[in-house]
Amino acid sequence: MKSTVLLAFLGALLAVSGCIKPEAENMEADILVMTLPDSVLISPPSITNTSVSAFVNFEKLNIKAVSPQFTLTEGASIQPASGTPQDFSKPVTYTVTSEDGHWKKEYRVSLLQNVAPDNFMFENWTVNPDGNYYIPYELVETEHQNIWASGNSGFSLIAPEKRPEAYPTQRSTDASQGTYAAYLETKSTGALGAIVGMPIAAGNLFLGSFDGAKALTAPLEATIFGIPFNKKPLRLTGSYKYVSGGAVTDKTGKPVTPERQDLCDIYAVLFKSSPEKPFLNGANVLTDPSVVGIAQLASGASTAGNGYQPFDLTFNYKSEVNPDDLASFAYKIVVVFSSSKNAAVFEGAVGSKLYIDDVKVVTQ
Amino acid sequence: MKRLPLLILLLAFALETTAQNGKKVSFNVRAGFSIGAAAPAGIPASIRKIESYHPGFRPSLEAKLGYRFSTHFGLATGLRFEQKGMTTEARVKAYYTTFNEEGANGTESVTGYFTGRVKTKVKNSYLTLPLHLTYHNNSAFTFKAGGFVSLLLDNNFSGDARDGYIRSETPVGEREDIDAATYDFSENVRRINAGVEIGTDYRISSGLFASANLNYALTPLMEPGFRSIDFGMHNIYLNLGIGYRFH
Repeated sequence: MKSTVLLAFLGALLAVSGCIKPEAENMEADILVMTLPDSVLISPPSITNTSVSAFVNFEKLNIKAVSPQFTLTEGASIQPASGTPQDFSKPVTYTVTSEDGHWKKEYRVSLLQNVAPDNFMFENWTVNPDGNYYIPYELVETEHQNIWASGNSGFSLIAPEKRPEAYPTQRSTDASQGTYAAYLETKSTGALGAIVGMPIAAGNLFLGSFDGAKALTAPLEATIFGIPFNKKPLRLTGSYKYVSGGAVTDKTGKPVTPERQDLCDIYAVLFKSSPEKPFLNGANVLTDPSVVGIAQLASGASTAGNGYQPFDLTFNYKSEVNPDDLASFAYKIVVVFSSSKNAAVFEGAVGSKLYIDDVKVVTQ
Repeated sequence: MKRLPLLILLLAFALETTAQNGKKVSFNVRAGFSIGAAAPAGIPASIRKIESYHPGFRPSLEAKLGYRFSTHFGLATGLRFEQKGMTTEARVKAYYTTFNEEGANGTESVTGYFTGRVKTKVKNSYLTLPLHLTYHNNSAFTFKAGGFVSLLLDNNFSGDARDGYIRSETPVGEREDIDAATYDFSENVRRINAGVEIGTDYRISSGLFASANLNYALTPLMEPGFRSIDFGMHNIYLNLGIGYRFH
């Protein structure tokens, strides 16, 4: 009896409310995949919400007329059209329009034809339009290379404040050379971060890209490590300054026992990429079988005094580097800086500050 | 609320005397439950599928006075304590919402377009003043039509979102996967809820009667200016009950 009444009433309710409407046209406007002939790509393209970049083998294409194909959100359209030749001497701006026509998103698409640099001065910074935060870029023969990434885009979603200075990864004028240095500070993520078990966000900076979509669900996999590299690295050198924020707290925000002081982390990894595993990530960067060499700071404790101190870290090789594979970009390098060593598992101390400048990968 | 039974008792005694003269005045008490929803006027396109709906047990208790001013017509008013609520689960696409959490620095939130599953739990308690025009004929049925004004006593409008992703601010904003996120809009439920009501009583014996009331709130469930869900919702409930008429 009750269920009959219930059904009758639900029927009445639906009559008032109307039935489920036909599915609305998509409002999203994403580039999901960029396709180029395999022989042209050195490494799979990295795609963020507003940019696409890929290292290409410049001997195998005419950079003034490259025709990338794009796979988009269902029903979306792109201008210039997918598959039409464009001059990629400079980044090309594509506009994606959603299926319903109401939403547009601009992508900056870069095909990098130069090999990434092996010294990093952190002089060039740009503000990311998505989250209003700083990110450094490199200039190689006037080519603008967005090869650095940080967790800032994940922070932008849960953090209430959107000033560039509020983010964990930013720039500082307290530099050891030039105008700027990279400045990483472990920040609290506030109440929202706490409920998802991520009470802190360390400042981090690495060669690779950040998959912001995974920031809350699989944070270790969100950091995508590695850019193509064709020289054998011997040492990682640079200047740094570290002020530990004090006692480490865990992912529930409580102090760990036994108590320990927060440490910074600086390391570089050379690994051999494969089509199945083109990149490493925060979960496997030091342990994956594809790793051939690691250079890592021994102790990440606070540096003495107020000034910068040099670091000079030797690559320890677990296996031989094949020169032919090296020449054909089969290897990738990642350089990682973090203001809290265990930030990947959300342990650290709010207020830990790491300054980085004048970094070089000394090669053979 | 503890005073309500006492009030009813006093009213009953008071009426015992007045109602003797010509039986123009009647008094009844009624217990029941409500099933229904806080529903949008039309299901918005962002809701793709309603996967479950549970009305829950939403009790009501009413004391009512009736006054017959002619052979067929009368007026009735009273006081009713009632709960209105439901739990629904829906699959949504580009559903505009806010996830929020109380923190040390006040409420922090993420607003954007969510695609995934949304569970909504509503349970509001009201003290309601109904006013009905009643129609009586020689049958066992009495018909009622009128309005009601409710005062919110206790409010709960919360839920969670799972298995999906949110686009920050706009449908082309930064995408973030969401395993589980909660929201709580309890504080945004309007203090006053008012609307129209129709119903009927069916006399079972000289005192006992069964009743069914359908009420629809004309005022939105949520406060004016509430933007965290981009469609308006109105209470629409069916109340079924059993009552006892003293005269």
